[in-house]
Amino acid sequence: MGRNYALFGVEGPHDQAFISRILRKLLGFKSFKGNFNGLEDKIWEYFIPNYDKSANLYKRLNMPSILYNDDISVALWCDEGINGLKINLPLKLNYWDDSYREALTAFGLFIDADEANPVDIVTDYSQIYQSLFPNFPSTPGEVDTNVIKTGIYVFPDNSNKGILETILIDCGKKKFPQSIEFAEEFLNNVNSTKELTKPDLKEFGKPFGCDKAIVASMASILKPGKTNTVSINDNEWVSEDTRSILKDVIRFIKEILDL
Amino acid sequence: MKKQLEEITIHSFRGIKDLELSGLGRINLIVGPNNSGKTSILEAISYYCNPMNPIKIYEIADRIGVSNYRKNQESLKWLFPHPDRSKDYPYFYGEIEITSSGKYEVFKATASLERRQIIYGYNEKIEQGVDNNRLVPGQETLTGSELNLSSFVSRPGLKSINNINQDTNEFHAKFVFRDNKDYQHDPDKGYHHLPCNLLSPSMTHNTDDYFVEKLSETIKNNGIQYLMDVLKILDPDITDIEIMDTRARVYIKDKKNDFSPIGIYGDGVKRGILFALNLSLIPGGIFLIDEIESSLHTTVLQKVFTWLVSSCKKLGIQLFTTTHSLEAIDAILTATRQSKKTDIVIYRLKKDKDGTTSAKRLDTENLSILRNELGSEVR
Repeated sequence: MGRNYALFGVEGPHDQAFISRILRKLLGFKSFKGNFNGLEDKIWEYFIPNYDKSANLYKRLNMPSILYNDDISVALWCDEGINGLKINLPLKLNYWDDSYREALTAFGLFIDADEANPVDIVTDYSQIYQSLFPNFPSTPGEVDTNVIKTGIYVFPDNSNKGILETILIDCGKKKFPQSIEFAEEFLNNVNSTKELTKPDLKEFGKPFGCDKAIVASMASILKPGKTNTVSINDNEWVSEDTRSILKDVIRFIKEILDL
Repeated sequence: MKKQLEEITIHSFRGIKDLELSGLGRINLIVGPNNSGKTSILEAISYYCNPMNPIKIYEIADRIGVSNYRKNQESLKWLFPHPDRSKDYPYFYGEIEITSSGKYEVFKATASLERRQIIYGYNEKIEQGVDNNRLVPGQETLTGSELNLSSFVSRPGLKSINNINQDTNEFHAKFVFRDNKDYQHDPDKGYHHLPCNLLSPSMTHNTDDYFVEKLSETIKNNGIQYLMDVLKILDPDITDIEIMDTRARVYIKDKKNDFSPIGIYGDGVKRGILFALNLSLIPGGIFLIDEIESSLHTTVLQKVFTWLVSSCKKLGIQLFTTTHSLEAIDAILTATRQSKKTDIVIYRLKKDKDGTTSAKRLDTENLSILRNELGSEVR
């Protein structure tokens, strides 16, 4: 087909759904539906998982989301956990056939700042990925425009602490403001009851646990019985109405993909 | 504990040029597309383990199987890199060169092959017996090949070797082969070498004589238990194996039948027999297996490879094997991880556009991450 190829690494399925939705709903990309024979861009075959039966059979293996338009095909590789984007993905890229890796026109990472300074986080990743992409930038949100464009976006906005859900809540406040307000009220009420013990609230009490709970609360209304990932993928967190909230992420994606 | 081969570089051998395999493990997997040179690497190592033995080189060359007619010469030349021949000397086939580091005393071996139109007159000493006929100068034009073998050893004087200066660390020998004549080799002069066996998938079709010979040696070397262990994995009903009848053939006994000739058993059982017979004869040496998964059903892979890895460890054998099978890779990886202090390394070959061969290496830990955690394709 003569397309260009871009690979994005993200930390979790929420991030994967989020970037996928931006590409589809706001930038006009189509989505690969999962039929192997329909995979036009064979470069991504390396990322299709093959079960090792001697390993943990319940462990979910990563299958990237693949999105494309006439000019470019983008694979969103998701790897959770401490080792995901710092050890596993670099290892996988190192072992990849050099000719395929060199065929990439763009490589990007999307990570959470959490409670750290975005600049400090990016320094770590830059040192790791510069062995593969020598011009990988050390500034959050910056796109290096060499032969292979590279960059790293730190949620929420490359400057402040936070996570993906921080942006999603801002989107939610634009799209479903009252519902978000009710969700926040609900969580405040739950938090103030004496029913839930310390162990019950362990996850909620973690940094940004409340933000995750707000999104989950909304997701339980928008997609009852389904996960946050499904809601992010299907509902209007990302939409034309929230484009202005997402301008930084959109700018980064357009720049790195040369859209 | 230092391995026989810690690193090997194939500078030139058949189509391989300047391929370095560093950080070799106890178990070494070689993977890659068809025609990337996997079998050639095994052949190169096989030669390197016996660099001064022309018969071994012919055995390697014969596996290429160019033709039966004049097979000695035709097969042999295709081991060599065939450089661009100069106008002055079109009959030189190039030089094989391999170097290594490790416990093995040989650190470099070379071989060169030249075609000769007129070889030697009867006054000239023929280095190795070509045949018993004396050559009469001028009466006939002879054609043949001259094979020059050299090995370089890191510890000179290690052994007492006939006709070799014990102070030297270089050994050279020339062998002459006339076309269409059987080669008669002098007994081994005690050159440095490593015990080594190369097993290819087609060997399950070897003659009965081959199995009898190997089984006899195995029994003499107290290796029969290895054989019985793997046979029971492949067929739990098998209870015994012997050489029997007036023609000396190998027979296998199982619980349902009395002794039956080995020929009626499937390739899987024969493959297991070949594993055991070959490895038990090369303690401390190198075992080379081409397409390790060949003839083995998926349900026995794990048990067979666990046995194989454990046996290699017990016998101090370093294993090099090629495979196309992800199941085989997973099974060997699991077997290696279960065996303490046994490491596995995988090399994935690629033929580059300029014809050179390169390899990507993964050690035990990284191979485990790619396979166990990521389900990643590693072939």
